[in-house]
Amino acid sequence: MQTSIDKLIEELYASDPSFREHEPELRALLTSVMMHKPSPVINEQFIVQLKTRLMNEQPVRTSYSLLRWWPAVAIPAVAALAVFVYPHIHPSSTNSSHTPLVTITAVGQHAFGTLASANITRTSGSQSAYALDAAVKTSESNGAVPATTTTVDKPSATDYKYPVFTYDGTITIPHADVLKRNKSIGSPLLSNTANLSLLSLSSFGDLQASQVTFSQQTTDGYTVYVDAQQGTVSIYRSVPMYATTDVATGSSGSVSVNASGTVTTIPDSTTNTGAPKLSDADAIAAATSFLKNHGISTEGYGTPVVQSSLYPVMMLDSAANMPMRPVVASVMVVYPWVVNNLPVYDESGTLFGVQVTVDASTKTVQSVYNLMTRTFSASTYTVTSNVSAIKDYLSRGGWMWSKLDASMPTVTITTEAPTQVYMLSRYQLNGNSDDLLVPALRFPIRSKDQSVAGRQSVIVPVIDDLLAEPNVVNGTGSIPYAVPDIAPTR
Amino acid sequence: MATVIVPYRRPLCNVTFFPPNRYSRCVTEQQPTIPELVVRAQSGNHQAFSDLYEQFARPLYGFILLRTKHRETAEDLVSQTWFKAWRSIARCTPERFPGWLYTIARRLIIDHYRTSRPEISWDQLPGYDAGTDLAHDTAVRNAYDTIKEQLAVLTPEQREVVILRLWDDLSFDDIAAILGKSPTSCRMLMSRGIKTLRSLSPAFTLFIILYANLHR
Repeated sequence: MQTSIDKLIEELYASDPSFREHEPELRALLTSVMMHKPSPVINEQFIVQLKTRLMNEQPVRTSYSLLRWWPAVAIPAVAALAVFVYPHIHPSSTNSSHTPLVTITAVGQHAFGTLASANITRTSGSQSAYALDAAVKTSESNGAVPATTTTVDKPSATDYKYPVFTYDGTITIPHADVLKRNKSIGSPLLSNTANLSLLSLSSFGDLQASQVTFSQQTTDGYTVYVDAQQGTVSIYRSVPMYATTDVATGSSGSVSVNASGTVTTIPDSTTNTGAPKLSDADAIAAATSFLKNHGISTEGYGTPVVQSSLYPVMMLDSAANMPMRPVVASVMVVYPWVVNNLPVYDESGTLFGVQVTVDASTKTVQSVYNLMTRTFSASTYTVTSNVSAIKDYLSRGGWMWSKLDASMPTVTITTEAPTQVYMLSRYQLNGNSDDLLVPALRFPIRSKDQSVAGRQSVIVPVIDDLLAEPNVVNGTGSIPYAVPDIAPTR
Repeated sequence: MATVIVPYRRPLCNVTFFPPNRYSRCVTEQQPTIPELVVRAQSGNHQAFSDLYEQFARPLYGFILLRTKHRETAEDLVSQTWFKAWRSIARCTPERFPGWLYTIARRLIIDHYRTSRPEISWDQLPGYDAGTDLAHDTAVRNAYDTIKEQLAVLTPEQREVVILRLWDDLSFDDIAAILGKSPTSCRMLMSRGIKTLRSLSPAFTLFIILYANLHR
């Protein structure tokens, strides 16, 4: 309510009593100034929409009332809790504990609907590795020229041995909530101020960007893809560069790969050991430096590690008609997710986190993936008490494994003692795609048996809903072939 | 027989009956004050923050629009202000909410103009071409332009205090919080600013008196 003229005049009298001699002038002056205040037109639609957006946001806040009035009690109490509270099951990850930058908000039970395993889609990046007959692998390593220059023929089904995973020890089933990742990336990416030459964006009212691609206009620049709907950001070189080493001549250079994946410059190397030129420490340093330079915090993640599998590229020297040789092109550094002091794995048993790929030759970052929001809603679901169901799920190799047919030969692989983790699954429900962290057990694979080369662990969810449905599809589905240490080219 | 006089004592009763009259109304819950709403909002009460929003949304919108002269920019800054306020409401002293909110807005405005205009200057105040809804009245326009000329002679500090007090209707405590000064300093700036305006031109003052009387 606008302050009255009388009150304003009294305020002035209190500051300077001499104003009393000029009351008429003062009254007129104040009245005139207040009357001629510019009255901007309020955009009521904007006001209403902003209110809706505000009310949809649930900021994590701490009530400071206790701390304000009882600091002598609150601070020691918090310290005591920190000393005496410890987790039920210690995480198996060797990554050190960290200052969590992950926020979790509890919601009601079964808040994400019924978790049917049929609604879970494969997370990207998971790679299947089937067993290969040793004879087949030997022929590949001899450098025999394959039928095509860009693909590796799929071995026949008789070359496969289907791994059956077992664990004979005691299994303690952990209890934890299912977490759903909140995808809100914050304020709209684009202000509504942009007026393009073709149209006025502001005429549409409150526009918000959903997916946006930004690209640097330099040859070796980066492209940044922001998906505001999924709350993810990806960064990659606009033009991928692959390095090679000419061991014979001792020179080194780089080649370009065009959009179709065809190598446009052929190296003239005659021999190559495939040994990486980039040490783990150097790769991690290059990745961390890149993230830091671009304002990407590495806090809240586990200790960065180099993924065990490298990403070689097959190079063909057509002039010398030499066979394809694997050349280590890049090294992937992973900044592992840690949520509730637990590591996160994808369904294939690979450690999940922000993936930074570093070019082995130039030691520059090629790409950053899995950069996403880490705020979650937590909902309680029924945890299974059926150890047999867990062992059965384990035997089949986890979620994404399907057995071709019963005639396939099998090999038994014994896993190590399980540890509590989260399994990251992409969940489809009601037309929405959501990332869920499902409490799970991780059974590490230490076997060097070639039948499971490339496989790190088997992940078994402990939620009743997900264990209730079998994930075995007999006789259907493709066989994703894999030569364990050589990835297929495009 | 002795007579014992027992003084009459009105029976104790926790109900007071009022005769029905025009002042009798159903007792309604008193509307919470702004500090009360802030305290509720600090403990996560969305409705309380919503109520605060309803009270300050439009004045704050005008405050920012007047200083940015560009509606889209203003709306962007308004959004930023409210989201900042919502996310950091726990750090607000309940009694200082208006000043705290406007301080957020002012800092965002200053940041917005930092590269070219380190302080809020008179030039940022809009004229009739900035989306105002004032009547297209020549006399009003002339009077506004005249006032604008007069206010321009004040020091920037005096002008800010005068405008914040008279146009934005903020208390001296809130103004002090926004400008980083003491309430006493703000009162003095207001006093000196008004004194300057009053003594600037007797003819102007007379004009104002006459104009005010004509348009009352």
